[in-house]
Amino acid sequence: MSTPSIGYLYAAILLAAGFVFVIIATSLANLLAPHDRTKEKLQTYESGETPIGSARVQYPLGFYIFALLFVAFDVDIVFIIAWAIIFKQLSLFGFFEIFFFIVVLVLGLVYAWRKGVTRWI
Amino acid sequence: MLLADDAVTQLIHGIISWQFLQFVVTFLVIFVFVLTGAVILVLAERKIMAWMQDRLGPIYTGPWGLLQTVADMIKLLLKEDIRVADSDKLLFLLSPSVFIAPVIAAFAVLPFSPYISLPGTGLATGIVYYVAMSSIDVVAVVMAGYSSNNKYSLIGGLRAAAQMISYELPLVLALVGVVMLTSVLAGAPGYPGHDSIGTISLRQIIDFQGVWHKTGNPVLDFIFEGNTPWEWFILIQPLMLVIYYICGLAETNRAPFDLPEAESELVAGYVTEYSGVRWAMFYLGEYGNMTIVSAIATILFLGGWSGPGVAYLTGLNVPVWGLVGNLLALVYFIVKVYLLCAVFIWVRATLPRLRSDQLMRFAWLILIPITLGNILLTGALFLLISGLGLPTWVFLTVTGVINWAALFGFIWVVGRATVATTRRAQAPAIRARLRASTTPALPLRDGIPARVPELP
Amino acid sequence: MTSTLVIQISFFVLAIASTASALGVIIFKNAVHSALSLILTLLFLALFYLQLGAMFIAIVQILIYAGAIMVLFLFVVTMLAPDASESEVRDPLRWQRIIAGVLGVALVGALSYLLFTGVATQSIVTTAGVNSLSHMVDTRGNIEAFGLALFHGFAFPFEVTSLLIVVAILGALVFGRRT
Repeated sequence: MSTPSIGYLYAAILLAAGFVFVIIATSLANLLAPHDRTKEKLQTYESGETPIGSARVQYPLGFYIFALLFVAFDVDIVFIIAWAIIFKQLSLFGFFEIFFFIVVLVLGLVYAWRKGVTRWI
Repeated sequence: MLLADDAVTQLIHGIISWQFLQFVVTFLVIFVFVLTGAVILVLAERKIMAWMQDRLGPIYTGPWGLLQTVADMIKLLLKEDIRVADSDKLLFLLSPSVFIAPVIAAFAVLPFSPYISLPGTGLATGIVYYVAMSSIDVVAVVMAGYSSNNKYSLIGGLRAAAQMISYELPLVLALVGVVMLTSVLAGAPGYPGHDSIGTISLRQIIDFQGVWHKTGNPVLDFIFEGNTPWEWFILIQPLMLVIYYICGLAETNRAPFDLPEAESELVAGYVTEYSGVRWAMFYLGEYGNMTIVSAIATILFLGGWSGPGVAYLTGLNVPVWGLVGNLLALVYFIVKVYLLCAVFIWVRATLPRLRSDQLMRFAWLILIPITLGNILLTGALFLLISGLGLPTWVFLTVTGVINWAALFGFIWVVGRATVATTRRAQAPAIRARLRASTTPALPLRDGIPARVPELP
Repeated sequence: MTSTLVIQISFFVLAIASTASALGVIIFKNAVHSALSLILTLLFLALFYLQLGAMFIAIVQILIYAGAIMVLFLFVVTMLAPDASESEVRDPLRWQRIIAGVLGVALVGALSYLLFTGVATQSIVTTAGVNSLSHMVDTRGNIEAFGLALFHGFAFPFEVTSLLIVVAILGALVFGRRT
């Protein structure tokens, strides 16, 4: 492995190029497109009615619980991938380690299911 | 070893080095691929869906309507860029770029051909890098939904975010099976890697699917060197490909998982307030995501750019034949990717949208347990079979057979789950009808009802 | 010679940028802007890891912090009436500002003591066995070294982590059902 991390520099260049691309495209559109703002045009769209109240309203807490479950399982995924790469080498001991890890997490998931989290809407 | 070290040696040895040239070529291929990919896919989507629904689709602009999306792009550039009142200005302007930049950066992991990929060893963290980039898109979606000051946008953005994070988990877990197979195969005669250490680098995963021992017969070598369809991981883990693909549909918010942009309830979801070129950026990102999902599936399960002649021609070490081999590889890769994209369109034309009560349960109660089970099953099978002293191909065969059987089991489970959830959703209506049917029939007098009952 | 210079320059650029975005977290009036500024800070941290050659950790930093935890933050922040500007609300607990200031000074003092005396780095080197790890990274690569260290050396903490995660899930469910 001569230059393992040089690839990330190139990836960063691509990321920056993505931003530059949007800037170029929007400024080109700014040059070409008409600018004719009226009060009605700047209203938010609510199926043709004049919008009532602020759009920043409270929404169900279900989203929050899904996000927390996601964080838990995302951490889990990182460990599973690190295990999967060397799982042949870790052999039986490593398998039981990850087995109990997964079983414990699945118990958490089962609990969440029995509590009715997945019935969210 | 350090990042900056490499950068400096690059700069010192002159910016016009061979490696940098390789990067420039890759960069151009990626940009051309992203830009033309969206144009081609939009047209293909309209044409294929028209064909499936027995319509004509676009026919007026250019021959057979082939220039329709080009005209659409020019139209989008000329549209007014409206920024609605009371929107959060900074986030509203920023979110299209936050959406599309990770998509373009995610293309960096893809090896398009033996030459057209990032120089050096590529990105060693391949799969994880791709997932990390696609998880930044969620932030952009929430930003767009929140900043638009629109109720549809907010609900659409949050729904999209919840859906994307939920389906991201089985998406990664489905790929873990392939990583485990590389760990099993690494170090075996002819296979890359050493010391039974697997890989998550996409470049190496392609090599794992193209191991051919030279026979000396030039015709056989030409066709099969680096192109061995019987080693593709789809044969060993077909169920994981299907689950990965389903999650890819949900990640890109495409039908039947397009609840966040369900026209009939949320107008256009988080892009409701966007117009003109910023709206186009979101759609470019979405189609870019679609090609990435297809490309990753191609690389992990279908051998990537492998095809007859690629490895043979590039192995000759003659520049002209190397160029031909790379172009061939690019063609094979793009054909495979677009075939998978055509499946995306086919699915959209075939399946109705999921109901919101099915959406989350499908991810958390069906996909995640199945993918976790697959990981444990693959590990247990390998330990059992290698413990018995049997060779690796027995393990591969047994895993493949079980996985193909599980694929049909999966289809059966999904069918049952659809029926069960639909019954539960319709239960109130069915009960009401049953109650109505138990009320006694009206007594008849001379063939007509005795008296008209009053409506409740 | 020049390469170390470039490393130092890039480090300071990163340091200034990450400090600026971290300041943005507490300066922005709008909570959503603060959260996005925090995402930027976490991305800069990932770049620091990359500069140290820890590729896997850098990508995991993006995946877990910028991708997962910050989505959770954004959900919470956009849910809690984000339009009310903080400046208009009078702080009901005046005294906690003084305590916060004292604790902040103490934290800076303790950290700079550890930094300048080098106590922390020495103990970390001996406990985690960085020498053998760096050797493993050189010979086998980043992720493999991470996995081997995790599953051979830290098997028990690893299992405890799963319990910790489950406790977090249970806590979320309990709090989620109360409201």
